[in-house]
Amino acid sequence: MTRLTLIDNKKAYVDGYKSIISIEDNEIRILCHDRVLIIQGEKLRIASFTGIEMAVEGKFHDISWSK
Amino acid sequence: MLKKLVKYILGYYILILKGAGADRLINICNKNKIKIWSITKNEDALILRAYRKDYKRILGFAEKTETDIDIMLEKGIPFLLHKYRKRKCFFIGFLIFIFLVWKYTTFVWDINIEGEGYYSFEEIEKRIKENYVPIGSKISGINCKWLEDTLREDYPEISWISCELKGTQLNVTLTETIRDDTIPARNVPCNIVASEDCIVTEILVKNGVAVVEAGDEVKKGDILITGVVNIYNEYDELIETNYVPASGFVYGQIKRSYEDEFDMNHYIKNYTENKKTYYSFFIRETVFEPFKSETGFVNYDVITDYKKVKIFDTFYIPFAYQKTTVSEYEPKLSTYTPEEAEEKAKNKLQVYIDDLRKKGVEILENNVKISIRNGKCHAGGNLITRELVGIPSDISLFEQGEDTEE
Repeated sequence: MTRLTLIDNKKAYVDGYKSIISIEDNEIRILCHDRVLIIQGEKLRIASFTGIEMAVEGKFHDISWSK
Repeated sequence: MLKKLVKYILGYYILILKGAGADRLINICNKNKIKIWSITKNEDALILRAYRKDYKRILGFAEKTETDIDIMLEKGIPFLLHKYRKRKCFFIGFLIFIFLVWKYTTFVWDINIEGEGYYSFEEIEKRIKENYVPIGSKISGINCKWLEDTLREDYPEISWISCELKGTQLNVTLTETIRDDTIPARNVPCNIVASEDCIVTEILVKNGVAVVEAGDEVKKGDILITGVVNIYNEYDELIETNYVPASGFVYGQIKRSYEDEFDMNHYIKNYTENKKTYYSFFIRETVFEPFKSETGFVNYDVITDYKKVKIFDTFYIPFAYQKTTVSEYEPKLSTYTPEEAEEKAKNKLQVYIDDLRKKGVEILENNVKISIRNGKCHAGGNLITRELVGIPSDISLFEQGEDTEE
């Protein structure tokens, strides 16, 4: 199970992710349990991550899931 | 903040990853528990931060994932130490300096007193330094509550006092009681006598019996309020004599003579452009004057500016420096104009009057005349004042014996 915690549209904590698929300035794709979490926005960066939790920062425009 | 500090102490790289396997490299690092953070994309490169100790492992994974890896920046203390490895003395000196500063912050190096009025700053400071908290005392050994109580006992005019340690400074804040003009109360039998020749203007007895009344002219030492209280019966026979500490207010009108004289000729200082400045350094009581040299001036003024060294507002350390400026001047004989002389005489008289007023003396008349004769300016005359004239005086054995015999 993946848990996503949002703080405004500036910070997101992704708990229970599997791996990072791609990192771009305006889009970060993260592979979670059985789907992909897509975070779109501006000046995106992975502030920190451990084996189970990741913090993404930036100005978010859209957050979506895809299979 | 703490995390940032830890990262800085351990040292970290800002790395640039280029190539198709950069994303994969990050995942591999994560799986292998290599701490990386602040990952951003810049054009076709990934920028991230990683600890110095993990760099070799990351390099190994970069080869496997065919990722180019470059060091963009090195940050942290290990890199600084490496960079300045040939300047060991500088670092050792710096560390000693930090240690000394830390060590010195555990002692008191300055005493600040606020709110004093009747008691002078120097008086209280000297008492604290010599008896209770010498400069250089360990902060941990100072009991502010005890100091407050002790100072309150030493200075009865203090109504409220607070002692507080701020940094390396002992702050003493106090409030003094409002002094009234009553004659100091005594616990032993006494009289109130005249302190000056005067005309009594007002008398208010609190304890004892008034001997004079308003309008009476008295000499210095005359009894104004007696502490010998005789009790008579209805036939005017003395039945008892009590000796009490006399007290009360006695105001009198005093004629104070004033005389002042000064020469009309005087020297004025014409400062030349010759000036010498040097600095002195103080470590506690020891003075170092490495730049002091003989000025060779015959007539000169010395102006000193003493400053204690402090870190922030209240972290004083036992160092001080002093800027000394020696300015040469040429004395030139000059003569006051009559107006200038009169102005100067008036100013001196005003200082004298202000001093009297501070002591609670009221000036009723000013009969001082200023005149210039024989090259001198003379101010003379008298001031009529109204002031407290009663002071306590012991009851003499003669008085006691005389009364007892009756």
